[in-house]
Amino acid sequence: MNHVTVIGTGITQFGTLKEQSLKQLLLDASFQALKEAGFPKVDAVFIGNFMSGSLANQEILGSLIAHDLGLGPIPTAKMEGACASGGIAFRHACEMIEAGVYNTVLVAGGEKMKHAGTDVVTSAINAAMDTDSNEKAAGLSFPGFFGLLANRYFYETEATKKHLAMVALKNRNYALNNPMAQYRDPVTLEEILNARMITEPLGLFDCSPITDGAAAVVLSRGQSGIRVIASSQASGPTQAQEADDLLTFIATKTSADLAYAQAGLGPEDIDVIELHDCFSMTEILAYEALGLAKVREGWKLLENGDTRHGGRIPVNTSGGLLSKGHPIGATGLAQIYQIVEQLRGTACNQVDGARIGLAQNLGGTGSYSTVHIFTNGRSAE
Amino acid sequence: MKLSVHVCEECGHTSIPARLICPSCRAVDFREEEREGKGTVYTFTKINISSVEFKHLTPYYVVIVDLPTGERVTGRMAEEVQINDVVELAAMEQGAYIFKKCG
Ligand SMILES: [Zn+2]
Repeated sequence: MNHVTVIGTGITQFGTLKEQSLKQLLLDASFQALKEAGFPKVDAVFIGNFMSGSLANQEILGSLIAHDLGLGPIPTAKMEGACASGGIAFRHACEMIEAGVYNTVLVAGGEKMKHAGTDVVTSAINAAMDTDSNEKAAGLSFPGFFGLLANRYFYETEATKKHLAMVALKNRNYALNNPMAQYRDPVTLEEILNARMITEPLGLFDCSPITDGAAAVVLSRGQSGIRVIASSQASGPTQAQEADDLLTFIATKTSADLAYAQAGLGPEDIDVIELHDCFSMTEILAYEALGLAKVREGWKLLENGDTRHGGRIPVNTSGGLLSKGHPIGATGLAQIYQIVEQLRGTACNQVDGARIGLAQNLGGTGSYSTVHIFTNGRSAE
Repeated sequence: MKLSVHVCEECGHTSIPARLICPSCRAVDFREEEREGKGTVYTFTKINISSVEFKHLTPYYVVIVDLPTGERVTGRMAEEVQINDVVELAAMEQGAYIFKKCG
């Protein structure tokens, strides 16, 4: 039986990449992925990207990549869903292959952010909020939204800023072993707790950084490679004041429930996870929406060490967005890159015997989520 | 100070932003009603680092306020604030609800 499988992956260094344009980053990652796949005939190209127009003055990304790689007159498109752009591009490739429209699709994601000033980048990122809303007019920002969540979460639970710091520390410790990561210098819990405040209670280490980078995957119908056994997407509210429960990402929960149903699996069956830690608070809420913990109990996983090596289910072994870096359009594909590496047994921070992995990519203030579940086809020992 | 909300003629669902289709019952007719702009703080954040257009206001607080009539509205405050503090709408500034502490 044929499946949708990953037959090639590629990634660039994450960090400050002054010398390369966005196109060059996308080409670099795409070339690696195509080479690993043995340069197959590609039927379509999907690109995940958020801000290439506003920050890099570059659009037509799909067509650029197809042309420069000599892929022929095939259809291409850029897909945008803020930070979930990469996951959405990947999902559409899965769907089109599943539907029999294409056999092989190149999916690449990238962002070029570091050359622009912080003010310019911050304003561009805030385009992922509702510009017409009274919330944006009030001066709410992306980090501000997650600050609102954190203060309410602290109020309703026994969680404190220390638990946020434990997320940041875990992910930094993973990044120390990832040569592609943006931040590979060790930090202490005290340094994280004492860092300057951005949007209280969130400090510098609670927020993902500004990053350049790209990642790519070749997806195909076949029997070799890492199989995609679930692909789902859902939407959520675009304004904080409109959420039924501000502390439950309904997009994440819905996409997770759909993915588990497709795969015929539950959270207890997953061996390794990359999830969307755009802020430390987001990781804790994702534990709950993905069913790893009960509602309002995600913080307890950190107390128990459940989500690091030696624990029940290692999370963000790449270093996560917080320390690997967050080149926005690349992120969904960089997560998938890490899960594929884990299932091949060749990852940094390898989880011994990992058979099933999950990648969850969030966009906006909980406005988009994709979930993908993968297997290497090995049976349990 | 009062603020206006949009109420679904069919099911009574209310929202701060105007809507074309009711998310609750899919009806398309709405009326505007006024609400007393006084309520309790559901959550808040102190914004030390903002985007450039709000930099002159930093540090400031963004608050989500629960009205006793059931609506939830996001606004801005200059004063330090905590969850459950009672606040009231003091002004509208360039599309933003500006709250201040009561008493
Ligand atoms: Zn209605």
